[in-house]
Amino acid sequence: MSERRPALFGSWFRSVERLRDATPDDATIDIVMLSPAGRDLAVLSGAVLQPRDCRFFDGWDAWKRRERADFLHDDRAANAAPGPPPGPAAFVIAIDPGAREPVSVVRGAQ
Amino acid sequence: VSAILVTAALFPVIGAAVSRVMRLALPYSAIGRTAAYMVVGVAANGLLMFLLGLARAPLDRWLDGGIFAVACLVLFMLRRREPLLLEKGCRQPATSAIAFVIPLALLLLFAAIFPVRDYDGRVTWLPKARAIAHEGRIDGRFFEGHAGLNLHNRYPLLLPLDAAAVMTLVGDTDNETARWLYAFLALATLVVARELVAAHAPLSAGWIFAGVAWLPVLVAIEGGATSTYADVAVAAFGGLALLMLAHPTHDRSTLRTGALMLGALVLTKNEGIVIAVAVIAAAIASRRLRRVHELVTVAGPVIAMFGLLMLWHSRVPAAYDEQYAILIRVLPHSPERIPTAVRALVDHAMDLTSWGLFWPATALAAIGVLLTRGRARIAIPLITMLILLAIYTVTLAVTSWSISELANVAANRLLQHLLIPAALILAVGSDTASALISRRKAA
Repeated sequence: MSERRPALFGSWFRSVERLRDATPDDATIDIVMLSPAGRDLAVLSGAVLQPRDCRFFDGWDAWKRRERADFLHDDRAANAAPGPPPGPAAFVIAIDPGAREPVSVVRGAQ
Repeated sequence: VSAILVTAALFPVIGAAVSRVMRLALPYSAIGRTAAYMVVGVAANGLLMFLLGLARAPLDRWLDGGIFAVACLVLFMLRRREPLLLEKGCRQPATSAIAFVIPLALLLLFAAIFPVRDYDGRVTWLPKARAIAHEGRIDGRFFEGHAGLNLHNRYPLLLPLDAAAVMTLVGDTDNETARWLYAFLALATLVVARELVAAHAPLSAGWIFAGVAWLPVLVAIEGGATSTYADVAVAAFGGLALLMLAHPTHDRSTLRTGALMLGALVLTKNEGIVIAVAVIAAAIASRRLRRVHELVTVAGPVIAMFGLLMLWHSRVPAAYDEQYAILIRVLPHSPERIPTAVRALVDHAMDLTSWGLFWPATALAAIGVLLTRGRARIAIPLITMLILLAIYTVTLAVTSWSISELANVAANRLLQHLLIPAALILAVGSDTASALISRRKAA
């Protein structure tokens, strides 16, 4: 099964698994989405990295401002408050579905 | 392998113990009974874990192991108590049994080969299970919104609690650890439903369920039996509750079994309370629930579980959860969207690649039974389905989504909720047609 998952999902899965194996359960991880197309990959990566505390950001500017991403915008739903700006994380990954390696570790477990 | 063994042992043992203690009605055949233990076990374990979670008991491996040990002890102590078996039904043709078993075996094979691939299961439902397995709580940091991303924070937790129990006992929180729960539940539901429907339609039940087992929608990546959505469980609890309330053996044991299923249904998905109310309303309208004690037995657990669900809601913040009050307020402004919603549901029901001819055949069967004055035989499933189709249509109309986009991701799963009542109508219709043909030939 461990071979089938990256074969089915793509190379991003192996990158995220490597990060998961290299980090403790209580690690903090910033996930920076470089384009709106990276949102699905970001939430899927966050699920693989559970229970690590993943924070999500829409681009590097939002990351610098520590402004969390707001995922759904439904005016008839109770949308989650993005929450207060998080402190710095031990690990930072960037997500760009268009790149050859969609998930790249920017800081931390390289 | 350990996940298969834990799933195959934990839930049937708990189900068998609960069935003995609560004196639940069970199918006559050994295989039907075992399958019923699986469904009852999933319902009872999830309900118990939710109650313990509300009481802030640590949901860890000691608790899960303790529940299993108590269930074993109960079974040992009550080993002389005979299970309450429903009447032995008409034996179904062996060929129909083979046609029924082959797709189910293939489904298990798919589950063994492919990883969990569905999107909502991976990002919505399984993260809840993993959070419970790691934190041992249903109101811990994850549900308080302090760690990770919890989409739809207030979705009911019955299935994630069951999945967390398996993860905790196996000691592995991978998605695939939980997937056997979903696959076995789907299989067990079809086996039990086949036997219960045979009480209404002895000639056709075997073949109708052989057909149902081959429906492509059951192996769909999104929402099928190998996915980790909660819709298969909604179909299971709602469908089996309905079959219990409609069963010719109408006594306290069938009512209790139906009530347990309805209670579990409320804690499975937001639609659960709506389906439970629809089933109860249909049972009242068709005069299956007439006495006060019958109504209390069936509606009591539904009201209690809904109250407990609201209590839990008061402890955790909403996060991307539907606001039903707003949706209902929007309704008077959305009538022009209703025809589009109806069209979207009908389009999906008529999609041959997902459903084959299942829905046109069900509609034809319903009309046939009504024309031959057999409406009492299909009153509960038909009324339930009409109520739910009306509500699902309105739901599609009032959301702020584009109807076709929402229908693409949700319509087949909503239709799945109606699978068992529809199969009952189809089987009764088919039996009615057979009887008419026999009578004509004899004349």
